[in-house]
Amino acid sequence: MRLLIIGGGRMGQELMASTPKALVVEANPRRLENLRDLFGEDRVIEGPWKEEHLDIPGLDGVVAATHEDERNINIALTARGRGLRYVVVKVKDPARVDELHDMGFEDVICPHQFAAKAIRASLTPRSKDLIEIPIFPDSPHIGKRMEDLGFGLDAIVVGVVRNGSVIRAEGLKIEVGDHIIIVSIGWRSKELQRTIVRKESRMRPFESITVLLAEEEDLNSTMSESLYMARIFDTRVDIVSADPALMEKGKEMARVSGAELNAFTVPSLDLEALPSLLEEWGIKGCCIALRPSASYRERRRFSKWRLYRFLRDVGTPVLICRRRHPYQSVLNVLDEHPGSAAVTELVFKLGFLSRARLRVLRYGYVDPREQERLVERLTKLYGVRCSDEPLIGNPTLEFVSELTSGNRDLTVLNWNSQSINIDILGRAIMEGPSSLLLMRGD
Amino acid sequence: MINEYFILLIVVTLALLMPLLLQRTNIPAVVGEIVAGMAVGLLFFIIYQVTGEAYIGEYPSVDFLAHIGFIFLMFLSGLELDFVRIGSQGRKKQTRGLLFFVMTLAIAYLLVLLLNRLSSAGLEAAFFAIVLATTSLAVVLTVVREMMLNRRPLGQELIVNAVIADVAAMVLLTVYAITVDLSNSDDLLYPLMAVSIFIAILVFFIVVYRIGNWAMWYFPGTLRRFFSSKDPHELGVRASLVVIFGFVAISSLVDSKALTVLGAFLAGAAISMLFRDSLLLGEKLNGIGYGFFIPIFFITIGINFAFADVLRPEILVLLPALVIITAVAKVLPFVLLSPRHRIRTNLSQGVLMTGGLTLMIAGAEIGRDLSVLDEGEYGLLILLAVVLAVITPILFRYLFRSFELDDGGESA
Repeated sequence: MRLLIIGGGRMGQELMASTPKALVVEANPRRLENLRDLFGEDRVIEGPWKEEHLDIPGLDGVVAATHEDERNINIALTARGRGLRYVVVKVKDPARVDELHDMGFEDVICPHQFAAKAIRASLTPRSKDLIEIPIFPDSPHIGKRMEDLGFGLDAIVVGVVRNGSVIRAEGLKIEVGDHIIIVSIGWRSKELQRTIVRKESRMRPFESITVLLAEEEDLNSTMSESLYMARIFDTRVDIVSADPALMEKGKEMARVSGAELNAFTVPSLDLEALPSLLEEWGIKGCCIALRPSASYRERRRFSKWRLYRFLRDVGTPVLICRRRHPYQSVLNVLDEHPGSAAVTELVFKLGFLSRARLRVLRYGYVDPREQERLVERLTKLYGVRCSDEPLIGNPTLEFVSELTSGNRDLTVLNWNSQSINIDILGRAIMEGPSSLLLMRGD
Repeated sequence: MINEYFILLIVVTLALLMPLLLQRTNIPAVVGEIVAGMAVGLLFFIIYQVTGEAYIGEYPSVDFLAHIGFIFLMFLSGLELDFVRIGSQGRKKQTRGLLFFVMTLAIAYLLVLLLNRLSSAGLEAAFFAIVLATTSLAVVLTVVREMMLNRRPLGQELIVNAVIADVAAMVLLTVYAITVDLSNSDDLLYPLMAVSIFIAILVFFIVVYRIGNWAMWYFPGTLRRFFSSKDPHELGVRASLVVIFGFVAISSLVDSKALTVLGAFLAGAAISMLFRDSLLLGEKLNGIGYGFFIPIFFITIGINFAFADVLRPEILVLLPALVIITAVAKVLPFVLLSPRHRIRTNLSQGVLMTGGLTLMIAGAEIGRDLSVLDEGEYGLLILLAVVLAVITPILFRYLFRSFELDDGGESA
């Protein structure tokens, strides 16, 4: 196999030693000298890395192993664009592993994560997990036989819970409402569960994310967070902007992240006109992503009340972006509104797909036990870390205390429930520290 | 021999016994308290007739406690308001609720004028129209929740209509009282003072709301103590009392009961808007109000009931007439505004909106204070409030269960 290794550090050297035909690209003069001594002049290319290096005849794959995550990702994206058979990317930040898996890179190496898993596996070599996968009505697995799921050697289907009974899996066809019970090697189980359930459209709370780009800063916040959210729910991204330069940059970001993209240029970003434009463009079931900022207000695009009126009337979910992704901790208020339970379930799906911790504030005086049971059921079903507690005092104050603690990256609320004082919600939208996903639970 | 402590002992004993005695009936405890007060008043009246010794109106401290009870009653009425619910219903339903109130007012006004024409009653038509257009939000909320209607369009509409009627009646009563004071006063400064205080109360309302919102955002940890069950100092109750008496003190700068009532009502509304769904604080304030002060107010109303002025044929004959006027004024707007609904749906909605116990009594108090009502008419309004509070929930439940009301289906 003819490999090109970008970065001649310890990992690069190890690979070079074990792969006779591999070439290495390195820019550091001291390392270059060492590499030439070890592997000979003809296997070392003096860097920095350029796209032309991929033109080497007979190249089978690329290993991006520099010390910068961003650079490695860029190399990997370029290599994939050239259609190379093997693209391996090294990242230092474990949070990026999932992100890259979502972008379609199968071979992502995080040395720290790898070491931690190896240590855990060596401590508990026989660790196994029992996981449960629910089959929703639009699951692509319906009608398949259990054997066709193809989990490989890491996992095996041991049974199916159907109509309250556990039945043997062999030869069984998957039906709606089945809960498939799988035994897998511990550290593979969650990834397996995520991979299977993510493919189901039922997991998507919206079909696409419509990103409003008004100024440069929106690229780092709104665009970046929307792409992250789009990866979580596997949805399309639509960019709306009046600035052609911003639009191009947004497109480039979307292209790099591998998201499916539509772009719409408008004469001016007018919130009032947006719903009719979405209809005109045929965009249905979207989530609108925006960033309320002081500069918007100065330009009289978003006054507080104008934004509030827009949020009240728009009828779609809205993501208020504050660049808090990747989400580590998500806050939700579950109250008595009939639509709140569905929003809480969405939060669990989000936690399941993004691996964020959840904090659910339960508030209800008709049947608090029912809410407690719902959270218990969802925690069990999605297997996420969730802390929940009933609100005794005032719901708005409890909400503000949680929100302003700075520990939450995203807050998901049901706009229709209105258990939070509306002026405080307005402040949370305009000044709050966390991103805000406002859903429309009926 | 008898001093104010004995009077208080009688009052608190009746306040204890009435809910126990009435628990198997559907009659509100408030009605029992007024009726029990009337029985005590009748006893005092007989004693006065026999011995010439008067026990009524002799104890200012009891009257003061009753007045605090009245303030608490209005405060708790304001606390019940759910502005967010109104806001969430959309303009169409809000306009409909307002239209319902205006139509009720107009129909009541015309019918009272007709009553004056047919009899020698000589009732102040504008004042009676406002009082008869009032609705008991507490009764509507209790019945709607009890019948599990609060999540259905029928229940939502009833609650919105009741809240709008409550607020509009309060504002109209105040405006009416100021207008009467302006026309009766010889003091040139008084009109200016009354209007200034009216504006000051509204400004104070906005200031309290703004400060409250600011504090909620920047000091949530401190404010949480106000709503904690573990706070030994009951800061939430103390803060609420500051708000209540802040409003009442401003409104008392002018000698007008209507402004005091509006002040207490707005104090409740401000806390309701700021700290919506504060169940624990609400329970504590209800405990203070309904546990002590408010029963004193209602029982004192009964004790002070002027039997000699009310038990006259020309007054008593007005009672059924006013019941009919109130019912027609409440049912007819539903029929006119919802012609596609079944008549029994409109009938039941109208019936439930008819019982305006608290605000009707507040109106009676304001009317007597303004000298718009004489003792007989004041007593008549108290009797009317009692009768409507007893019959309307029973009648609504009967209509609801008998006809299995839907949310306004097509006429058969």
